[in-house]
Amino acid sequence: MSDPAVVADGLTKRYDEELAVSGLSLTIPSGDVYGFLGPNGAGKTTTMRMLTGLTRPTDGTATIAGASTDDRPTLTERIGYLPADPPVFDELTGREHLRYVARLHELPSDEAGERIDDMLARFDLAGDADRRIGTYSTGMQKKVGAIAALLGDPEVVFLDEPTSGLDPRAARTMRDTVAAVADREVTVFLSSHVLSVVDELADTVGVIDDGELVAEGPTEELKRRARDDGEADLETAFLDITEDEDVPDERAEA
Amino acid sequence: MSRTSEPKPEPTATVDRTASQSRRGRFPSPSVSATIARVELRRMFRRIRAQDVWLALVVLGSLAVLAVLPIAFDAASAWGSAFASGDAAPASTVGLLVASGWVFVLAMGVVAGVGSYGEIDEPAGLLTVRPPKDVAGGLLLMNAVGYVPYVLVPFGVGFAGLAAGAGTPLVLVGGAAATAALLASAMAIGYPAGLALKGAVHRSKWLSRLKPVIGAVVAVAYFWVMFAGHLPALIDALSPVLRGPPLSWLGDLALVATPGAGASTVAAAAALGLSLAVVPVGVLATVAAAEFAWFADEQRDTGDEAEPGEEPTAGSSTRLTGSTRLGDAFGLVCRRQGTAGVAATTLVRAYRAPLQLLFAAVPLLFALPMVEGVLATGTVPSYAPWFAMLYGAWAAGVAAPLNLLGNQGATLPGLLTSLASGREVVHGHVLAVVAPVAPIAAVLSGAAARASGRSTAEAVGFGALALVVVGGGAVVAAAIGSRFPRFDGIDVTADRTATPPSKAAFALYSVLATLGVSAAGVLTDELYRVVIHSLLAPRLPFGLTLSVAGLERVALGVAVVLAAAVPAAYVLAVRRVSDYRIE
Repeated sequence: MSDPAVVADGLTKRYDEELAVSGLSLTIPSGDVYGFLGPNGAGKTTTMRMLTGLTRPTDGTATIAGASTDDRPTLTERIGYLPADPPVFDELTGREHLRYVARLHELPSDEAGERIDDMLARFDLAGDADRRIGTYSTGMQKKVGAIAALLGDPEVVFLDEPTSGLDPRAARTMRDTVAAVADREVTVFLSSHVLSVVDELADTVGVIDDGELVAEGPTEELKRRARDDGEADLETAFLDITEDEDVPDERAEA
Repeated sequence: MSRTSEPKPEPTATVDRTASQSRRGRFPSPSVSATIARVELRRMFRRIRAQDVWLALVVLGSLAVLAVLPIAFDAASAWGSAFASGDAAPASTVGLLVASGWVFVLAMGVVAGVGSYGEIDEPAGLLTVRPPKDVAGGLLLMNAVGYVPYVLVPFGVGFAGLAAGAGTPLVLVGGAAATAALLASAMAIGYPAGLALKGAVHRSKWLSRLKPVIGAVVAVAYFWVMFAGHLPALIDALSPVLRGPPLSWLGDLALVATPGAGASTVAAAAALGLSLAVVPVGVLATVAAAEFAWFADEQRDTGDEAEPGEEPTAGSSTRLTGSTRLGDAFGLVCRRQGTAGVAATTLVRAYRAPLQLLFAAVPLLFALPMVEGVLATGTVPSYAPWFAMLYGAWAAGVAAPLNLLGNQGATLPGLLTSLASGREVVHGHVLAVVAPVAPIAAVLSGAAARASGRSTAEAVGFGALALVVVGGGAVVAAAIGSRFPRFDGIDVTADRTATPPSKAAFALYSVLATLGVSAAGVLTDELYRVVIHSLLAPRLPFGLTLSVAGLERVALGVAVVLAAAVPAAYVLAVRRVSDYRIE
């Protein structure tokens, strides 16, 4: 059996008196798509920032593709990250920005050019690639951010709300891209409020609430846990799990 | 799940693999850092080029520097001639200037590190792609290269003058070496020091709270030194450090190839060697300080963790009602809640984002010599009450009403489609600035009048007039601002933008405010009348003449027109806001 792609052990983040994430432990096998759900302010972004090495945990450890999150030289070589607000530079054109990211990844120029052209075409951005990003719509910026996150051929990619702000066609392209990436044995850590996206793509779903991982398991199993007697869906399961008074303490076993 | 259900290939084990060579080690990768520096400089250049205010400042600054350069060249040329004739006396002055340049770059490096040039614009983008050492190296290089023009132009011209005077191009060799050494070594020390300071501020709740105050004190001190003519005194105070080793060695390095300058070869070599030693140490310090600054959990006054993309829900409901204590207070004096809400929201925004008020603070720089004069002599000049009144009116207008539409930013559609009428929006903006500014302007103007030798009755009159002028000015500003709005922000720092009033609004309002206060001064103040007459009368074109009585009549006409303009401006502002459509 291969090593897991993401291992978090007791990850905790405290800001003064506020506990943002508490003792989060999870293990994600290589090549899986892990759907990470939670209400607003539950600690999703803080968790992703700890897993990508952007924020130091107060306690606990994490390993991504075999690299400790403290080992930034190795970690940066193995991950891609698309935050909810895509980290793109308004003053550059889309192509310049992607070329820049490719240079930071030290990709050979020819290979980078081909890969960028291919991704731009796939995301229907080829015609706008030489315009300044500052003139782009939110969705177009998101696409550039997504391409940048995937450009370095990461082993684990963290996507925070990848389909928000996208029109239906672009959202479909994003979902297809995530699926294609996962088929290439890349591990995807996917945070989204769009439950249909998670339902469609995720092998496993984890639910965080008030900084704690309150449920985890295969998507179908979580759905079955919904208290509705009718046809269970992920939304019902999510609402059940994150209901204020009835937060379940035990995780669903996979 | 609809993904392909084909069996996945067996993944390769990921443990025990190390990062590529360029990511390893303690020193930044030169090629990656150079890439980051190049892109950051390109972004900075494009940002400045796209913003008219900065572009205008750069052009004005360049013109000012160009005007001084011939003088610097001539002076340096004279020193070069002195060296050629065997007189080494100017060597100490050259050394002092080079050492002062080093201190300047050091200070700028500290400011860059502690300020926004020590921040990463998109940390989630860069720090997940490269280790921090490469990013830190890139930013250090970017800041060093960014200061090349500031050092190269003055010292380049200076050493060219020396070379011309000395009659040998060899001068340029020492000059180039000293310029490069001072830039590299000062930035290598100053920038990490600034970053370390930033990290300390991030980690300390006390320092975080004091940051705006510290920034304001430093800014005032800087402009005090620059505008009030204290630079020579400061250099004198620093003289023992500037004239002693190791900084004095830079002067030796600068003049080592200049015949007759008497520079010490050993000191020059020491300067070069020390610079070469300082740079790698500074690079390592930069990497350490950057990690210290960038990976700190910033101290926050509020404990809420807002995830990106999530908007606080409380703000939206208070946007128009201004349901704060301030809004409640305004509600006591306003008939309409919309007026109170707009006024309270305008003030709260100004308090929480004071950068917007920066433009209103600029004229205060010109008041520094006056304040210094008052402190030095103990006497208040006779124009001080008029200055207080003019500045009060001008600042009140510029602070909010002069761009009351543009200041709304993304919330403009919400404001225009809200229940608040154009009248309430105008009232709210005028109230927001008049309430705090008018009393201050009145007190300052009255106090300055009394302190400048006027009677108590006159001082009270000044105070009352200030209230009227500030109020009327705010209304006129609202009319001009609604007619000439500006929606494009400019970068005040690398990561903070503000939206100033448009150039047309600035110019028109400044002219009208000056005219209004001047007319009031001519009509009510004998001394002011005489001063204005003596300034205007000799400069009239086409052989026109003007008596003091004539000046009074002109002032009266201006005052009447401006007084009549206030209600007209009010009507114009209300209509303009009520009928405003977003293009």
